[in-house]
Amino acid sequence: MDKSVFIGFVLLFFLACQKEQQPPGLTEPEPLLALPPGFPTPNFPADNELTAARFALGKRLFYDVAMSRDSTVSCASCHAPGRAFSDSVAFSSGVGGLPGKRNAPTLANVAYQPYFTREGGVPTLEMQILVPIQEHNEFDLNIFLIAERLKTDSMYVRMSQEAYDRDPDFYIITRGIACFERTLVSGQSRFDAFFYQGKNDALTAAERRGKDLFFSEKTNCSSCHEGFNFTNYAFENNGLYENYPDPGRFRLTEDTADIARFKVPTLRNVGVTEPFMHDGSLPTLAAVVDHYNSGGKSHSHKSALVKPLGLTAQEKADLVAFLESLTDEKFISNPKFK
Amino acid sequence: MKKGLLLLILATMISIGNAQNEIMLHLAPRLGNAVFSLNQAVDHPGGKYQMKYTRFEYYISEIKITHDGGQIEPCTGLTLLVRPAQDSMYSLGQMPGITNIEAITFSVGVPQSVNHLDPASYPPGDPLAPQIPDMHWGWVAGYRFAAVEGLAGANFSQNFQLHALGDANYKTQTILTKAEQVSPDIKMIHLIADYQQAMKSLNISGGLVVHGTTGAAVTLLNNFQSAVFKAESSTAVIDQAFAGEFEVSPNPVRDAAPQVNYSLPAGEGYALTVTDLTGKILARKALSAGENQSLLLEKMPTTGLFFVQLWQRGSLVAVEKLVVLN
Repeated sequence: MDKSVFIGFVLLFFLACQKEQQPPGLTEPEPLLALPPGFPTPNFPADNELTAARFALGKRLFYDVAMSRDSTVSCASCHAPGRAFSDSVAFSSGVGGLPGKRNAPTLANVAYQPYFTREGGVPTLEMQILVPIQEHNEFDLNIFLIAERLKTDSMYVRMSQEAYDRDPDFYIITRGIACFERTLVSGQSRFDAFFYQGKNDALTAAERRGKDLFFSEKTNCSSCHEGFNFTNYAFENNGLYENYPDPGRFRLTEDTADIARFKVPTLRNVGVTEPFMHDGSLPTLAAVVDHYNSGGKSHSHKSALVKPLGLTAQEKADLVAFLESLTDEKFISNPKFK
Repeated sequence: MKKGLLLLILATMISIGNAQNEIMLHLAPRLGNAVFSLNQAVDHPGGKYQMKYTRFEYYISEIKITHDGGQIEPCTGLTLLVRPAQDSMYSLGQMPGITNIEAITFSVGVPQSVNHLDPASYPPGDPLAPQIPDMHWGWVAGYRFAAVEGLAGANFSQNFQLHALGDANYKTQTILTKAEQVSPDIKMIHLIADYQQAMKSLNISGGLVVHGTTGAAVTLLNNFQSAVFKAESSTAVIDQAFAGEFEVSPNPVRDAAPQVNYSLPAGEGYALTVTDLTGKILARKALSAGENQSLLLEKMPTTGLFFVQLWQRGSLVAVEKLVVLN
């Protein structure tokens, strides 16, 4: 056997091995919408079905500072992928460094939200896109002016045509970003492996104890943080303050019964979305568990489910451990979303 | 003029029953007795200080026409975004079944069934699509029924902004009015819209910023319901003892230059002017006496109502309203 034939055999051997191992460059691309076990298919509106072109356009817009008046902030500025599309500070900064008024929520599984903002006044994700654009302490820009900026970019013109068969305008901005955000599905945490995929060793003993506490009548956590997305989307008061500077849902409804009620948030990826609460006032999960263990402050609208729990230090640590098991490492590092 | 008017009346009579019967709404923009314009100083309705508007926009919706013995014809699906600084005439659509208009009913704002829909779902240019400046408020997912801004107080140093909205503030009004047959095919409802009255009972001398559904926002929308609009008392054009003929054709004119046809009795000092609603003279031309003459005007710059006026030695002897629909 001459040398070249031998090298050929060696190469074939390696290629055969590589095929077995499925190197990343040769694997099937991840679908735009990857649904974990137990997750329903999100509803994409008839005029905004998911396509690769729309995903690409929306993703580009999501990360583009051209959305803001002074071109300093984008959607991703307050919704960072490494933090499950939330922010690390209580109040994110908008144009000119102006602080926001609410803690930026995670966008994980935003496709399943029945309404948007903490007071729930925005009925569709497409309409939610208009909110930060207008707010003076967020993007502070008219959507027409964003479209004018986009029209000067031939790449945007091409992508808009491919995605929606029209030049950049308010339609492609609201549709594109909403379409991208609906793909931000997170359900591959260790809890999911344990609960939906039957992998009993996916959770540690402490996490399993914490899970049992979480779903118990002793804590009532799962009465509000229920279902695959760990929320019932209701508007509740959890006794954070006796006097709330933020009127909550009352701001929208002007019904006094809604004073200081806020939409129950998802707990998915809660291990990386601190600080917590509508105002980002609780810095750690331990502080959140301490709050609920205390029964919260007195407030006429406080949920009857929020009451002193009498948890031991071990039980509190177990609850925190369980909550941290809800982190979807693949989701927060997925290059598809970056 | 008399002959021209007679021809117009005859044409009107002939047109009755014609399938083409466009109803138009003219909201004559006023600040008290003056023609409306932005940045124009005007007394606050309380009379104690002055104010000026820098922005004035509002929606009108659920328009219904009462006609021919109490029959009601809705302008289904029609929403108007009224910007008196830019426009004062709006088509309400073709309504071939209407002969005599008796009243108009409408609401300032957007009805609840529409108020919370997605503005980006409308085609560009639709009144309910996104606007510059915004007429939709994102976080409440609803429209500003009226957006009124301006300056008041000492040396106009105080800023006021009233953005009024809210389903509970959507109120209906009915105004008894007739319509003017401005052409064989078009009936025009003229309403006086006195925007000075929008600030009635609102103290803006020290500045006022209200974006919402309560307080001053409610007062503003109540004023729109009760104090701003009234029927124009007279739609008659000047018709003195002028023995000549004078008419503008076509009228209304669409995307074309109108022509003035005239016959002037012997005499001197005839002149023709074309003005807009504010009285600004857009064209002036000296005319000579004589029979069966014509003059081609330039195409009018915008849609709206204009006046073509005939003068003799400085006295107004005839006026024709010219409706331009570009």
